[in-house]
Amino acid sequence: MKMQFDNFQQLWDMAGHGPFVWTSVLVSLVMMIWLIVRPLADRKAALQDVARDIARTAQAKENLKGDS
Amino acid sequence: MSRSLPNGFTAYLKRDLLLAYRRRGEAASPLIFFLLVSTLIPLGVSPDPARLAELAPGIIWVMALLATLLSTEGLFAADHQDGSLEQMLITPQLLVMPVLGKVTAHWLVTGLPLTLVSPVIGLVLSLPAVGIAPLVASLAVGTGCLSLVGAVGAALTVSLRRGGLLLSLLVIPLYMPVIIFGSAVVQAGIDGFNWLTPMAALGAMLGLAVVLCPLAIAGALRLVSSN
Amino acid sequence: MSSKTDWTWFHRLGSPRWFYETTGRWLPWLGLLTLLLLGTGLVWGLGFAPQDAKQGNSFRIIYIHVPASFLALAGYYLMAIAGAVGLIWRMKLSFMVMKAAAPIGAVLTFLALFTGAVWGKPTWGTYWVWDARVTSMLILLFLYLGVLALQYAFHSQEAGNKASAILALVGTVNIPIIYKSVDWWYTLHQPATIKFTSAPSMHPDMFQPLLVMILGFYCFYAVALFLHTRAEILRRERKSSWVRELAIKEAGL
Repeated sequence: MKMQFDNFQQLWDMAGHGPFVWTSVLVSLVMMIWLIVRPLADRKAALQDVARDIARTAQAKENLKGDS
Repeated sequence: MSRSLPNGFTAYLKRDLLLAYRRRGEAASPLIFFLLVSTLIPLGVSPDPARLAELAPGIIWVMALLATLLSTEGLFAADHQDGSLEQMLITPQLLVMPVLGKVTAHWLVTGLPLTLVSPVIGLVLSLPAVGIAPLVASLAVGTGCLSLVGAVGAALTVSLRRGGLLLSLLVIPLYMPVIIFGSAVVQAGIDGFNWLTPMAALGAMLGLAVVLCPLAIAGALRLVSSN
Repeated sequence: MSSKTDWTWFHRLGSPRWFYETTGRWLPWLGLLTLLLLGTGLVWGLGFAPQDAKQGNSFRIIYIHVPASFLALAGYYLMAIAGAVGLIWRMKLSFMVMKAAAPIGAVLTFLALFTGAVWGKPTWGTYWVWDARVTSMLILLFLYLGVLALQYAFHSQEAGNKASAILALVGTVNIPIIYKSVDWWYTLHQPATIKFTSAPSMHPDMFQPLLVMILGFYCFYAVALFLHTRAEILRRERKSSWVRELAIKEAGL
């Protein structure tokens, strides 16, 4: 099994088929990475949401205690 | 002579037919749509009989499909609005029988007229005479499938406000096998092949639909009531 | 004396918290495995596998197109099964998995179509061709979009889940019918047969990296599914104590 291309220029060019192959690869990578990054961001946002809510209720309790 | 236990099928069949009769104009709109669009085709494509004949089987089938799709949205909508859907859900009978009654009524009011009018449309679109019989047969069975499958979509979207467009999105992929085989029956008839073969596939689809769709429809309608 | 089967394992399986904590342990390893498999497969396929005699180097797109197609179809069945389990056993977690599977499957179907179209240009001279495989993939995309649309159309989360589950199941029955119909339709109308390199007749040097890529995509799917489900769990269970504790810990309060 040997390397099919002699240098990076040839790998990029792929004997003229380069644009097709690399477009497919890059679009696929971008979308697949998005499928990973998006839920990670959602997770963080969900936890931050909950934390903010907890902080707010704690603050409200404090205020209530301060008033009475 | 003993009377068999009422199962709701005939009751709902009669009811829906009566309701359709009372709203005759509305009930006739799929048929009118079908007829009107047939005049659009030669205007949009070409009046040349040879070209029309080539496209006729597929075009007639697509138009029948769209006409059925138009009328499917209203299948459960009126009942949902005036509360009779809830009534249907609390009857002691199996829900599938009233559902089958309603869908049969829908077919009698939509699919059957389309089927009966189709030879005229075929004539207008230069369909070869040998294609008329397969056309009528395929539409008779196929529109039955379309009514059943469309009812599943109608049941799923009945409680949604803008359900119409969503209904189309849901139901069109499920319609595709019906149109593939439906127009193939007609094309086979025109080309001289045995059109009973694709017709058998269409019949099998109808059989499957009659058994499975009412279950899906009943499930979807119960969902609406507990929503 | 108990003659009843012990179903605790099943009910534990249905606990969102258990799922969250267990997948949390598995994910680093799964992620690593995915990167390894996909990395190896891509490098192997793009750089080392021999090129096709007729198609040249653009046949290398197969290393993404085929795995994506596999997972797109398999993912739909997974989504439908998750929906069925949710409907039958009323398992919230199962519905969450179903909801997670929808966008992943839709993206993979789109990728299969996109890579297929890009592959078609140098091979057959056109981006789009209505052959059986492409048409079936397109219909699959519509089925996915339908489930997604239905999911978000309802105000009630539960109604949306149940409706999507029913639709997914109806779609499942339809998929073999659709595939067979389209196949039959295509052979009916097809004048000349254009075959691209099918797997069994492929040279092993071309086939082996494909196998690696398929495995890599399966792992990728699992990772994506777990991540999406975990995010959904946190959203839905935000009132429960374990989520609140987790949030406090993460925020460093």
